[in-house]
Amino acid sequence: MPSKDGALRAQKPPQIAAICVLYALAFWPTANIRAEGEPAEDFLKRLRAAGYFDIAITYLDRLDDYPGVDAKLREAIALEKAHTFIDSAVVARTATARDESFLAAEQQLTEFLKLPSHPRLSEARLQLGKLQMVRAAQLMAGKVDDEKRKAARESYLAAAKTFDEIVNNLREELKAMQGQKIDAAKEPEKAAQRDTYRAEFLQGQLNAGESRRLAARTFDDPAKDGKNLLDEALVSFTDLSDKYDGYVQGAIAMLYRGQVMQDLGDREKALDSYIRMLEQPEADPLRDAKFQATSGLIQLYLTDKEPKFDQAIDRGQPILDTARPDEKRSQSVQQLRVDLAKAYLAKAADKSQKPPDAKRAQTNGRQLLFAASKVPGTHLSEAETILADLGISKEDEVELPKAEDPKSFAEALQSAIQLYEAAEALQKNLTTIEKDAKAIEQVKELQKQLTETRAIAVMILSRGMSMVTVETDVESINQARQLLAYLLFQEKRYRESAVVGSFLALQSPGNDTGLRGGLIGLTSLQYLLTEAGDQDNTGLIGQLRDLGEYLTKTWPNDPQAAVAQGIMIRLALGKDRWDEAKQLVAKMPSGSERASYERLMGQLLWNKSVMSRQDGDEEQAKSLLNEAQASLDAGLKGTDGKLVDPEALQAALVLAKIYMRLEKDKEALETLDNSKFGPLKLVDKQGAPSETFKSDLYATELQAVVSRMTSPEGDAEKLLDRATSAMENLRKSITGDDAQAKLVPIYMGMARNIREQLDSAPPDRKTKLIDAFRVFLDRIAQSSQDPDTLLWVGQTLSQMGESAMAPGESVASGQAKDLVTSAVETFENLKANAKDLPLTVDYQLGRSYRLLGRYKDAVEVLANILTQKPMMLDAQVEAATAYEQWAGTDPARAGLIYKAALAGTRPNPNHPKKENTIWGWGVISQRTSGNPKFSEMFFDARYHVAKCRFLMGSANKSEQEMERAVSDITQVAALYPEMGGAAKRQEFDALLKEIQKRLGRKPEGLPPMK
Amino acid sequence: MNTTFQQIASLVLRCCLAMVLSAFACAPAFAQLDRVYTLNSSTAISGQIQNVTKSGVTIKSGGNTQDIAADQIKKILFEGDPAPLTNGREFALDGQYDQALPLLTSLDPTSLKREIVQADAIYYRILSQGELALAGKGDKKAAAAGALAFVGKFSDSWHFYSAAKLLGDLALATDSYDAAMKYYGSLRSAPSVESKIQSVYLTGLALLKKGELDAASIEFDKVAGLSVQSVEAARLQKLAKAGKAMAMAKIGKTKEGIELVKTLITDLNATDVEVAAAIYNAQGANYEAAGDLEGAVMAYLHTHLMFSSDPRMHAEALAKLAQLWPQVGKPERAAEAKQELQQRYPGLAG
Repeated sequence: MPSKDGALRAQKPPQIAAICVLYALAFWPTANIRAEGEPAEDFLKRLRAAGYFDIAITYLDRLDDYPGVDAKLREAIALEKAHTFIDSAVVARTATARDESFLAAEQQLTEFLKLPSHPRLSEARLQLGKLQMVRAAQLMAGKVDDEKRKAARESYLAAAKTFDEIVNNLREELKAMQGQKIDAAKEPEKAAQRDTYRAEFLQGQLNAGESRRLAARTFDDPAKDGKNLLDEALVSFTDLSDKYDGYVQGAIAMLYRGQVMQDLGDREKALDSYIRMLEQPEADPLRDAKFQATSGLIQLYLTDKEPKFDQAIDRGQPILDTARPDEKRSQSVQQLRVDLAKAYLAKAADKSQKPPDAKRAQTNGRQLLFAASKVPGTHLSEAETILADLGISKEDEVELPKAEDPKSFAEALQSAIQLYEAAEALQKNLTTIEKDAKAIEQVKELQKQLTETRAIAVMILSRGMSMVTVETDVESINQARQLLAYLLFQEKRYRESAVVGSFLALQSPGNDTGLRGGLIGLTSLQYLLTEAGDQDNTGLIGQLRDLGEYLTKTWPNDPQAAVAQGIMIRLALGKDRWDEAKQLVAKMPSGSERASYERLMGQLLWNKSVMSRQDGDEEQAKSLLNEAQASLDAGLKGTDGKLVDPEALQAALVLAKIYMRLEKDKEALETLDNSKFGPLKLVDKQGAPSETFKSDLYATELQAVVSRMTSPEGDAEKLLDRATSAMENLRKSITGDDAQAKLVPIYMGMARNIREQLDSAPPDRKTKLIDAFRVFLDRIAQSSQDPDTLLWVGQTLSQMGESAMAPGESVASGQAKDLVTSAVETFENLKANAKDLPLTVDYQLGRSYRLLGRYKDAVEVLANILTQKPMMLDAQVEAATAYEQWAGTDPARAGLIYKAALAGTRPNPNHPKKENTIWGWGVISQRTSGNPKFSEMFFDARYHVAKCRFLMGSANKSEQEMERAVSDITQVAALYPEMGGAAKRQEFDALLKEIQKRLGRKPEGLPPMK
Repeated sequence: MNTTFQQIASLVLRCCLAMVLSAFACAPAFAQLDRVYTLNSSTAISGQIQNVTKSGVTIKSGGNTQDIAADQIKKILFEGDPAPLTNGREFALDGQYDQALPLLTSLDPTSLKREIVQADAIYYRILSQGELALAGKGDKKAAAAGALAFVGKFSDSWHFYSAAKLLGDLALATDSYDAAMKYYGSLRSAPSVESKIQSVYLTGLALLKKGELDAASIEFDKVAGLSVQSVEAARLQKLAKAGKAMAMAKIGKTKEGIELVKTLITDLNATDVEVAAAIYNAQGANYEAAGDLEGAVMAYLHTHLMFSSDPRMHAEALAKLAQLWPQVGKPERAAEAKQELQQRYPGLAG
């Protein structure tokens, strides 16, 4: 038996959430969802849904043929058959077939209930009881004689007995469970079972009472002949409503109490119960009971000596107006319509009413009866009888419009507002239900309702707008326009919402309604623009700009209007109109809105700066960098002191990167640490704006900290600790099974960034930076066994070494040699101590060997890579470079080695055509030819083809080969006059001149470009 | 009422701001923003695609460069994708080929500046054409010609092997078994182990359709006997076992076939529609061959009612049901099955 001490019971009135949860539990499917094996439960459902009941029964008979079926389901075959027969009965085309199916279902349920124990026994009993009630109700439908009444009564009483058994059994089960003191956290299955039992216990008690009440109603005079039954029912309902009003069943019992009292003729107590039912809190599971309670109230008001039709209408109409689209076809709402119609008709018949009021009341009553007569159910004969009494047959009925025609503009507005509020409530429900992955059908149903509700609201409002007269209040008209614009917007009818919203803005300059209309219009136009994609959208942009300008001019000081300005800025930025964007931002009033655009612009300027640098335009890159810094600085300082959005964290990170570029490492760290917008301070609180943000952040911090180590004012030890910690944070920021795969490219990227930082540093600072990084890397190498970290250390050492090499130097010396040697040692140790290393390690090792002039080692390692991955272009280039440089150091074999660099070497025995493992420059140029993405690599390869051919010719003293080198160059010049850009062309030109000189010709170089 | 309208206004403002800010909130600082979505992550890798091969793509993201294998790529969104491509691609990926095709056909690939984007647009077009044709809603030969042109022109596309498989499927659907085996065979050159396994499985399938049942069984056994490491490979093993069970039905070894299917059902993942449908169709074939028509109907009903989103498997099940229903005394249901077959898969209704 449920405890009275439960949290749900503790508060009055009942907690709505608890009510909903328990209500859901009462109908929660008991079947488990299985991940493996025959999906028997699902297949059964599908068979039933498709109407293949015979196959479903056969399938259940041969369920043993299928592996992996849950033992509980096998034990419940009779129950499943009963469900199948019930479903079959529901769609049976003849009464005989239906009766046969119900009978078969009852037999199966009885069979199942013979089991000594099964978790679904109470479910079966509930089903059996409901089945007995359905059969009784069938007997009471249509024309009823004494024999049928008797049979129906017996069926109701059998149902009551079934429900009593459920209650008694579950009371014992629950008592036993109470003794076990189940901890829901530790034993969730037991706790769920207990909740199910509790819900079934209450439902059983409610149904037992209801069966007795209905059994009493099979008598001609229930109050007299069925008094005992009604008294028994009343005991059940009173017990439930007094003890369990924190549960749905307890709350609904109040309605049934009222109905029993009404049957017993105790008007006052019935009235009290109905009113108490209506005073229950708003909760979906109670809505139907409230419609029924309202019906009861109306019936009581109308049976008074002097019928209180006004009170009945005042009670009934507002509740009926709240009926949702799905409720409008429920049995309870139809009964309410009929009862309310009776109240209206009573009013119409009242002689004291003014003729227009009486006529309106009759119209209302008639419309309600029409609506009710459209839906099948037990109310139908009463509705049709009253209509017939009014002299109206069903055939006279005019087809109701989809959206009922409003009588006036005011009524349309009121209806539309109600529908809008209903839609909002639906939207709220939808948002909640959408979180439940299993509730797909419910979600679909709610979405359908939502769309229908909004569509009806739009239709009513549109019709209402055509009823506006000169006397209609302007404010109401504008409210209607605003609501219409918004509903159209919600319906995704953006063209229409843009038109209505813009019109409203133009009609109501300066006031709030106009501004809101304008904003709806503006947003709609934006959506249209997004939908249009890359299609010609000049017209839309024009409209957007006009409306935006109008809003900012008309509401100049309104921060909401600044949104319009923002859209124009975005448009300008989207089209690279920087100056226009800057002017628009400058015009914005100070505040968070303006700051957000300054941040946007700053980040876009940074992008532009990066692009300019890639294009080789350093001057423009620098200028854009300064502009980006100013814009981001202003944008971040303009944050209003509240918690910033993740977007601002991204902006701060970009600003820190800019400071690093500008060699302002102190400012970079201050930006990252800033208490208001610093990502290091806020990222955990605010969340990262993107998946890669944290790794990018810690990598930037690391670089900034190491740079600070070069400054005399920095505390070296403290900074070293911080760098180590940043490195650790970086490693932790990458998680998941593929963490290693993600870390490697990040580390590589960091190494490249450090190299770029070194390359752009003046010589004295470069030396200091290298020293600082070296100290840091040594510490990391000593303290870490992590292969990815060590790979990064090696990579960084190698990159630093390369950066320390003098221009034109192919073999490292001095500080560079030390660095590259350390890199080699790191890679070699890594290879010796770790398994399954990525090929990147070999690639880096091969490259480092080359930088040290250890060409033989280099080509061995690289050939090994290329055997496994021939398409690794970087490794192919590296191998060709190694051979080319090697040839320069071995005059005796230079011709041979240049040939390897040029034409490749090491035929692959596994390749069908024995293609060389190392391609050489010739094949590299072929494979990269014609692909714009490899354009740079292609021209570089062609240059080295010519160079190797020339040097090979020199080594072999072959003028013919040198001539071919000339034609290698002139051929490229003829086919690609720009030769990969000015710098590359210059290299080709210089090489050609040198060859021409060696051939004893005038060094004319390339002909000028035409 | 005022509250209501304040709520509206506040909502609209939020919408406006969200739209405006979203343009840069997620925009990392890159020159060109392509977005690569992989199978095992819901977030995209944003950056600049630098290299494309049959095996995959290389993307530069910030200062980092990474290679992504073709069979790990879910989709790539390119900067400046025109709307028909964006929408058409999504429809195609969602299996809504009839929605995708008009959009992708409306697009002139030569208007796309980047070759990789051209290849992408053409691939999804030929994929949609091909899948529709395979579902009986289009001309298979025309679809095959389109796919063939694609692999000829874009032999370095990361879609290359998918297009080769499509060619194989189309050849199989037109009973060109040797051609199908040739195309399926090309998947063995793909870098991933799973593609190589798929190649063997599909070859077995082609042999099965050709009627070379022993040879088909050998191919299926090759796959079934592997020690696999990945989910996808394990999935292919199940398909191969279902293929083997189908071969057993045709050979007449129905007892063994039914037992094999049972082992597959024991380990069934009902969310993998293609595999589940293949298993139940194999069960149907074995029951039918064994004379258990009721069992066969139930097996094909599994595919029809639960795993119908794979058009080829579903069409096969419907065709079988149309034959079997009259034999179990339900001719009206046979008519329903035929009607559904004709409506959903007109070219496969026979």
